[in-house]
Amino acid sequence: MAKHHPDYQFLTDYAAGSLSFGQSVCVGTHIEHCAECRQQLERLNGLGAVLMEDLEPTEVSENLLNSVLNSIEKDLSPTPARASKPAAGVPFTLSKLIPDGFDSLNWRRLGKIQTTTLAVGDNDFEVSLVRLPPGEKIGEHGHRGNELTVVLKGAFSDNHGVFRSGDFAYCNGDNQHQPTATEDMECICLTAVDAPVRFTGLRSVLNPFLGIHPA
Amino acid sequence: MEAKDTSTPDWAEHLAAIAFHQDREAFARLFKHYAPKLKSYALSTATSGVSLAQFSDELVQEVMVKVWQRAVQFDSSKAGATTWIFTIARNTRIDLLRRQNRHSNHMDADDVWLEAHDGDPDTEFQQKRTHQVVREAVSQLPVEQSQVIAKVYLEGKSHSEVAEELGLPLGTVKSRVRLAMGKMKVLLEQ
Repeated sequence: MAKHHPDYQFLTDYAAGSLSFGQSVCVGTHIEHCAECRQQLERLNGLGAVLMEDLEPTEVSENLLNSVLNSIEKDLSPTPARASKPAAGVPFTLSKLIPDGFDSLNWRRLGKIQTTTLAVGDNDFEVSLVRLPPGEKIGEHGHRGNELTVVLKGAFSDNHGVFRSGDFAYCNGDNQHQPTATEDMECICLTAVDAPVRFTGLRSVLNPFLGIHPA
Repeated sequence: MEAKDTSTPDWAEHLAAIAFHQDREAFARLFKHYAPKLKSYALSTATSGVSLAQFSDELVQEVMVKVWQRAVQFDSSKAGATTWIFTIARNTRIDLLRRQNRHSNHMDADDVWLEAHDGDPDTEFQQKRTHQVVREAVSQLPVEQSQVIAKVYLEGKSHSEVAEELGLPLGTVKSRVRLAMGKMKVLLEQ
């Protein structure tokens, strides 16, 4: 059961379809793991339905119904519900991006930490996976933009608490933290960022060289 | 259009008739009710450099084809008919806009906005009551709140984009949305 959730701003933008695709990948992944947020989402979807229902109708040309009926004529078969099972430990939301499991991805090494970028199709947010061995920490850093994180495997802790599988974390310019994987197992996180992080302390010499690569 | 009272026809039953009897007349009635709403929804989209007239016809067409094809998947115990159709319209709009911006990679909105599955949905009674409360409250919201809600849901702008457009701090936009959600009783008890 997830303990850390996206706030209603994220959930509302997501329900409305106004949240960027990269951020939506993170919120969607959390929601898949969180019955509470799913229930909240249904309410927010219901609000969308009322707003759509209350719009003044716009006349639709007669031809449109015919052309819809024609395309139905060509393909009467009802589509089956989503069938394919994702690889072990991979959420449904990421199954197209990680069809053969985490180990099959092309990981880049930064010391003991591994990362890989996921091509979700977003101009602003870089979506990637970060993989920490048990007990490994990411150097203390702040944020130049927004950072959304969802834990996919294992757990990490920082000054905000312990984040376990399914938990959602959000950081922006105001927060500094030093995420550390728990000792019992490796930790894999999904992240979306719209600006590079800013390291503090010794590693700050790296800051001018950090960039992001939305894909 | 004679039936002004939209609560009279049971659209969930129409969807069942389409799913199990491929009932074209039920589909035509459903189309007459929803297509003009879907078109208005599409026209309210804030876009740059997109011809909205063509975009709105495309959206209506794609959504209504999906409604036919997916009627079998509709489960009235999980969502109301209009909510279900809204989620299809929302996802279709996202995909059409992404295609316009040449983001036609293999990820679709349906991958990221999963349909309601298992979990613990509100009962049908709760759903109907929620809808009624929302419907009554929405018309009584102060303009500054309803404007922000409409920008997020209908124009498709995020909280941050709304804040930027209106020249307001993000916190002000958030609190307007929060107040509106409270009045509409949309937020679950924390």
